[in-house]
Amino acid sequence: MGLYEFAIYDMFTPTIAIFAFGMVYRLSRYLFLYKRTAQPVWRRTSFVHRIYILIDAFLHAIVAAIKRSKVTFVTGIFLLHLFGVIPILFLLSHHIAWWSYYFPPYSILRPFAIPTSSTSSTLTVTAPFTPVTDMSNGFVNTIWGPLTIILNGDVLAILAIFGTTFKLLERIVKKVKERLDRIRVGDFVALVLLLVILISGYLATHHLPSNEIETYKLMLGIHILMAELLVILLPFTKFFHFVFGFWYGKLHEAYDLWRRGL
Amino acid sequence: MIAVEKAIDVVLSDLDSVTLHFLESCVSCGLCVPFCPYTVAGPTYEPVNKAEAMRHIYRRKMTIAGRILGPLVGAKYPRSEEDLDRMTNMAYRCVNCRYCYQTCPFGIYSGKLVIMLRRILDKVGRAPSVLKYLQTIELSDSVLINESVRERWASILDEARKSIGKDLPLDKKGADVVYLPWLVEALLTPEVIVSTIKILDMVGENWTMPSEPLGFEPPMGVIVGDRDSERKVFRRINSYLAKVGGKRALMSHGGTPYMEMRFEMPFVMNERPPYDVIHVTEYLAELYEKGKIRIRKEESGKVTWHDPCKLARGSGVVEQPRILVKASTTNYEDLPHGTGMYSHCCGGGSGIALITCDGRKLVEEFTREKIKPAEWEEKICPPLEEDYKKAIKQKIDEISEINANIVVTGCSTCIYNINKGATLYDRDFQAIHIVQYLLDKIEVT
Ligand code: SF4
Ligand code: SF4
Repeated sequence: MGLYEFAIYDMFTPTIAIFAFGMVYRLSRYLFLYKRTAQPVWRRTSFVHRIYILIDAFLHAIVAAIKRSKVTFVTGIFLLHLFGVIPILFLLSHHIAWWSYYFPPYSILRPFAIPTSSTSSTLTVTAPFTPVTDMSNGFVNTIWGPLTIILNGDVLAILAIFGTTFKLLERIVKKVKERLDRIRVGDFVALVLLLVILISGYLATHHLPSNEIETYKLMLGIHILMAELLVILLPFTKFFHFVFGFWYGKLHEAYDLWRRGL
Repeated sequence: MIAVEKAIDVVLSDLDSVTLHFLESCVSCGLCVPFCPYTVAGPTYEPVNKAEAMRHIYRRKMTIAGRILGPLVGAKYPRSEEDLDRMTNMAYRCVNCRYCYQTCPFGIYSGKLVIMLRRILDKVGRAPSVLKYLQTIELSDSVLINESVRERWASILDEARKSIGKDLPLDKKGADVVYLPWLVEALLTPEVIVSTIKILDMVGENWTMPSEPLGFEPPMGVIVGDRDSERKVFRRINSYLAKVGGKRALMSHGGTPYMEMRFEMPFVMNERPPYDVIHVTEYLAELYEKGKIRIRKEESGKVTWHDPCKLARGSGVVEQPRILVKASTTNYEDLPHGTGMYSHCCGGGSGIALITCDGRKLVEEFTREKIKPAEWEEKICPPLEEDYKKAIKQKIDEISEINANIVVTGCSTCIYNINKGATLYDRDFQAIHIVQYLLDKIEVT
């Protein structure tokens, strides 16, 4: 059995089980530490204002970053998150197929699928001709139109690889030069893991470094296994921000701002 | 004084889920960094790096990986004197301005973790002597601890009496408004107390005030990191208000006491006080909007409003002062680097200004008592003094950017820091409290 089969057939269930255990463990800590106390008198604000604050709570740190931390915004928020990992993970056509296999309703997102490469960007709904294809699905007929010139797996993966590498190097420099405590071992583990996932995914898609089926399977095997490792580590590392920390933090902040009438 | 590990046990024993989030969710993105007034002191004092000192302790005590792998996963206790020096330096380069909280993409309030550091340090005898001294004053039966302080307080009351031409309604029962001046105002801005009294009298308010302040800058416990004393002081204030039966507690000082009593006391005491807490800007804006007072608009040099962190970001008082100040001048401009939720801090709150050499001297002159610094303080104070000057300079430069002549604000500590910065950096503006600024512009209808 090769790495690919191991990742696909043997590791799937343990990954989900460890992930579920980790999530229960982490979330239960929050539940056990929850303390109900008396509330201050809330300032009165309108319902509309509260909705605005709720949305703003999710956005104002990003706006502040655009103003004062341009490099972090471009590399960390834009390349790594908004224009890199998030669209690749959720909208890359291969990934939509994968998500839909385990969770069929996900296929509703098919019209938003992002093709793998820019060479398929003409095969879109806005193209002046109907694509000729034997495939049973119409993945390339996405709504992105000419935007697929940039909204495609290749470009997004390269941007995400660039963002991740930059973050990695930046942290190495900061750790070595400034000896900052805040740069943690976990940061390096997370970024290296992400980088391996991105690079192996890119290589597998392009049947690199060689066109052999075994090389393809090895690359895809590494890609899937490392992604499973990420899922396993997710509840115990900084990746937790993605499923919980971000949402909890921002909802709490909005609640706090409501209370103070801001 | 107790051992470090015992102190850590006590401080971490009342962890709640929100603080757990602050401890666990940081991804070290550094987005909070440019907004902290103490980042200018060097990367060690970035909000996330200061908070990391508390995370080291938390991981060592409360995570499995931290217990097994220790420093490898950033989990360790401060062990040596050097470790404690470093931790003290971090804890006293934070003014709890909440800006890091507002700019973190995960809503993490690093300042709250710095307060936890202060709590640990206090328990191991590492709270600065000036703050401890002021806390002791606050905890004594009377804050008027000696002749010198009594004299200062008596002279403020005398002046107030003269200015309204009658006796002050001290400790009166059944008043609608209970004015709570603090001893820190008597130290930094005594004229603000007099002006507030004058305004209350002028508008015909049914008011009272305690015959002596109920605290120095309560609760000092939150500044030095002592929860028990925090509760004790809150209890004292609550029982005074229950005794006089006040419905509204009015403050002219928009620093720690306002935010703590308005928003934090219910959490600390687990009960909601039966009175409202209002700042004098809210009070005046209410009178203005109801048409009970008019404000004379004048041509003037450029006027701006500085949002005290605890009043604006911490308590939501943003619109009211602007309504008042804009009504008073034809030449108003907001500060350029952000207002309200995004206002830049003056750099000297949460006790920082008072633990500098000048701050210590000021307190000593006020009380005519010598406060002996601990040995470890001798080492950490001179660099703190320098960093404090750098921190306040950012506010000073921001004010200079718009060429403001008058900086109106609502917090005695901000006034002290801005005026100190203006002198230090040779600028010709002046910070003034809103009640003083409006005093001769208000007309009662
Ligand atoms: S902005 Fe938030 S997540 Fe980023 S370093 Fe600061 S505290 Fe950590
Ligand atoms: S609360 Fe203010 S001073 Fe303290 S770390 Fe945060 S930004 Fe800096």
